[in-house]
Amino acid sequence: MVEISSDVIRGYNDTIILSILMKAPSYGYEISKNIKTISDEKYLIKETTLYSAFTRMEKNGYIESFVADPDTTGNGKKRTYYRITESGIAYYKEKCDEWELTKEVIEHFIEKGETNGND
Amino acid sequence: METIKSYLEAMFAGMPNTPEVLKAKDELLQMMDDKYTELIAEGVSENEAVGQVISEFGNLDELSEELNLKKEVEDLKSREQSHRRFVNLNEVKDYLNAERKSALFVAVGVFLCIISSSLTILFSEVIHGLNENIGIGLMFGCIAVAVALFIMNSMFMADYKYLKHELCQIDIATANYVSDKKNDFKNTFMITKTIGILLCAFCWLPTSLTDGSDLSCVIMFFIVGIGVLLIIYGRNINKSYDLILNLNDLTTVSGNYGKEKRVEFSNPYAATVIDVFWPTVTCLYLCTAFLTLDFIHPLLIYPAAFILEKILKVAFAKEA
Repeated sequence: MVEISSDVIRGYNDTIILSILMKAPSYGYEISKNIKTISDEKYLIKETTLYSAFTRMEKNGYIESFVADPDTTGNGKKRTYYRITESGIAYYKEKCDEWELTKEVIEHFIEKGETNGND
Repeated sequence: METIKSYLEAMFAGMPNTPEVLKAKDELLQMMDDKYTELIAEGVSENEAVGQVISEFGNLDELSEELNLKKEVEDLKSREQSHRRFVNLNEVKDYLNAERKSALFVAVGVFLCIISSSLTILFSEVIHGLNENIGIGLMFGCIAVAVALFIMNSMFMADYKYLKHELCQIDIATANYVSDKKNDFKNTFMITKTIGILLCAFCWLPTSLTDGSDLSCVIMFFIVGIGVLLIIYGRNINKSYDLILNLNDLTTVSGNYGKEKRVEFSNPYAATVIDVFWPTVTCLYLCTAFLTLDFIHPLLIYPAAFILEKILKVAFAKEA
């Protein structure tokens, strides 16, 4: 079975996380669970990768963290939530455009099943 | 869940002890905890859940790069490998047993030294009709026994000198064992210390009550001796726990093993109340004592305050 190589996806971990935070603020495990579901269980993000991305993006000002309780009754454990910032949204859009371009370029070099390359 | 915690502790043991690293550790534990809880809720067996959480954790190289710790981590690794001697749980148990005996030897030795001079008074002034030299003989006997105890003690403890002179390290399991032991000993330690201090503080009582008779002098020496014995015994045992808990390099995460976990309180006022509790009690005692010139009866405030503090702590403590 083909697996995603971590080298390839590394440049897009931030994009993936930001796309989830575009919808609503969220915390570590919830984000990793969403990534798993949205990718049809084809991509599992490691905890260390996720946390590294959080610290990096927080340093760059793309996300902000705050502490909140996921349980509305207020009896749950506190978690660190992350929310996307204005510059995070801009960065996300930029990365989306970049991906469109990347995809288009790489696409030219990918051999498709139906073409044999000599027509 | 304990396995996951130990795994994480072991992974972080050699990391520098900075707020960023500790925060990273807490966050990662939170994520692993969430994942574990959900897997268990889905009906996965405990072993499988632990296995899955650990296998999907990743590695810390990536993290140390992100937190700019590459250099520190490497420095620490090379230091750890070259110098630190690993002390296992059995060695620690042996050491703690030896310290327990040693504490008793030293305490009894000091007690004998303190009472030795009073024995001459006992035989020359209090018990008449016996040869005075018996008292002098007993005094030297006591000192001789005390010296023998001190020498035996240092011979026993010689095996464990490395703990004080070499760089050593312990793992989290040993640290947990020792902090449990220390916790169990906490009450004994507090009681021996309190009684010891009270005995020393009120040793003059018999002399003042009997207008300084010779017998009361002898009793005073014995009271001081017992007080000091209790203080030394408790303190030495407690010190041995601290020594083990502080073995790890304090600049790494493992250096936190020995730190006492602070009780968390349900509201911020409770923490403040507990913080000022004992100073307030002492203040109350001193005020009452000086105003009424009665230094003994107001002492009852201490046992009462002790019980009150326990109740407050239980009432305010936050469920973990």
